Amino acid sequence: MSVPARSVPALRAPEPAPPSARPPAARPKPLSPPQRRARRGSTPAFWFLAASVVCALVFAVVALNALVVNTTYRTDDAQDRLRALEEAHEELEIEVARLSSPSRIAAWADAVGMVAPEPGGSVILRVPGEREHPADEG
Amino acid sequence: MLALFMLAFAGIVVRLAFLQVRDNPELEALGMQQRMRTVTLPARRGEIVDRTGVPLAVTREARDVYVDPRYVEDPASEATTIAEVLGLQRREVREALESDGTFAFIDRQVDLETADTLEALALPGIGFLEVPKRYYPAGELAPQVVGFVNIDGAGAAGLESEYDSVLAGTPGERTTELSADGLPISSGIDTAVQPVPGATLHTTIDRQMQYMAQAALERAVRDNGALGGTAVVLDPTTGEVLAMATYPGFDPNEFGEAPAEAMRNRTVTDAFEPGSVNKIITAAAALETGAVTLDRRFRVPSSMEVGRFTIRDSHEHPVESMTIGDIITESSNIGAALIAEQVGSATLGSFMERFGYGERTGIGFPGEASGVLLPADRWDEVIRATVSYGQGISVTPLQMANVYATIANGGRWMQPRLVRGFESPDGAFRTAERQPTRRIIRPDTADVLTSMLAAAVEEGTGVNAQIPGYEVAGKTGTSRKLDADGNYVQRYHASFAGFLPAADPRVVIAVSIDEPRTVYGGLAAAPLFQEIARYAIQRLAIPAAPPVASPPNDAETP
Repeated sequence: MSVPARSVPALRAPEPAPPSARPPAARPKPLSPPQRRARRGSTPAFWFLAASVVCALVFAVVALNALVVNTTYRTDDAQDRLRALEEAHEELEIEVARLSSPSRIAAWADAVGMVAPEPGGSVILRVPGEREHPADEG
Repeated sequence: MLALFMLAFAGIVVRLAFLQVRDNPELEALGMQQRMRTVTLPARRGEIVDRTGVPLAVTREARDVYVDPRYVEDPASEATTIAEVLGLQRREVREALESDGTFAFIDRQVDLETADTLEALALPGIGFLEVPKRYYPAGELAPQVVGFVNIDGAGAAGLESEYDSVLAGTPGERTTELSADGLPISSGIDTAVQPVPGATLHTTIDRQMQYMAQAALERAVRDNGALGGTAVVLDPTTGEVLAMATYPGFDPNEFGEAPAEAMRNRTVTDAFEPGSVNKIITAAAALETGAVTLDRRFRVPSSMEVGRFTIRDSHEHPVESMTIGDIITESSNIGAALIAEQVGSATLGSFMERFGYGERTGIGFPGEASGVLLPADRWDEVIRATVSYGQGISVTPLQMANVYATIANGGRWMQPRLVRGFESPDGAFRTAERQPTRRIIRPDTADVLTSMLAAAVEEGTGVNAQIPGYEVAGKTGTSRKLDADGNYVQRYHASFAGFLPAADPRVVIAVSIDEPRTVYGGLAAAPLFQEIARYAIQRLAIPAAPPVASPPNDAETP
């Protein structure tokens, strides 16, 4: 079985406070807007300087990258030129070997009417101590 | 329901654990294998140069021309154009253009200029591969010595073959990581092991001397109506081969068109019966062992019965009293047989072995023949007699030249050399290995033999080898050839081997001519020796030397 509800006395409105002997305090004058102290780094000049530095850094990084890329291209170009020159040098060496071939020279000499010297008709002079080959002793 | 879900989730976790932990190494490797591609970077083949560094064999860039028939639009027209540019048969080109598949070679190792001309035409379906091509700038100079490479760039003959592993270098490889569509991943693996180029092979050949020897040999063969010939030029003090010529020759740049018989370096690969040039070994054995003294006299007829055979001198003459010096000077076969009788088969056979007969010189050339020398314990009196004057044995021209080099070198055998050494890509030079020298005969024996050979040129069968101002020491040889059944026929090898100056030898030259019309060594081969020797004097700046003392002979004996 449930317990019957009890009646709860109604709350009474609070009684007004008795009149005080002191007059009510005067309303304080409104103060001037509080003078905010200027915080460090918060002026437009600062932001401009900061932006300039950042821009400069970005520009420097971009310039460096561009320099690296440019240098890479130039290096590649130089290497290509070097390879081409080396190949050209090799081809010239081969051409020298072909042009100086004794059979070619003899055929050309025959064609222009030259004759071989008589035996003993030519002398080959050698420099004393001349090394003909890396394996030769000087 | 929740339990089922948890169970399934647990299964997934376990499976993940298996894949990510247990099977991770294997799966990772499989993935790498699928993505990675490795290609071989070919090594540049080393050069072959002469003793002065002039290239005899080099590698040039070339192009292989191929076709993808799927993209050919007008085979007939393209075939005509391509055939004209490449110098090919139109029919063969058209076959390639109309072949099945996606790839067919049209031509290989095309020179750059021709390939560029073809590439400029921008014919559909035609592509080009960069390949190396071997080139021989001196053309037909020493082709049998230098050799050539096959279409794949591997040595196929001569020094190119013998030293292929040194010339080929070490290929490299490049490994790249590819995406699913076969393109390289820019941030992926890209490693390379650079190829190591082959070494440069420095030969002992002198290009100028080689050319002159070849030219003189060709003239001698043609003038004598012969089949061919050989010439070897050696430095006796070092064993270096200055020239090694075989006629007929060929152009190694067109080796596919050359007859096979022209490709053999016959100075090394072919053996022949030397004839009378071999008598010097008989004399060496006699003098070195003391079996015959310089003043011993022999009664020498123009023919003699040996066993059931009759041996003869080259010409009829009355019985003559000859010393060993006379026998060499006059090149008497009977006299040589009589000397061999005094020396004995075992001793004579051993001296032939000591001079290098019956074994390869080890010069380092593919297919070098050892010649044929029967063991002395199988000789009868007939073989002893014939061997004494150079029949019944066979030697290579190089072996014969080395016999005379041994005498010229004061009796010391030196291994002949074709290779001076190898130059690596960084410029370091490594001298080729060689066998140590060995003494065969005493220096005083060599001196006496030299005087005999000088007399043979001065007043004997070798007069056509004389050179004014220089004393030449040498010996002629004329030997009968054998047919396919091993029977002697009336065809001959003519040869001459010698050195100069006699008192201070600087060059040894051995020449042979196959089936000259003039038959005899003194007529066919001695003039060839003279021509080559004249050039050698100029090329090597050989000074004259005082004459050697003559050996005792009939005229000097009271």
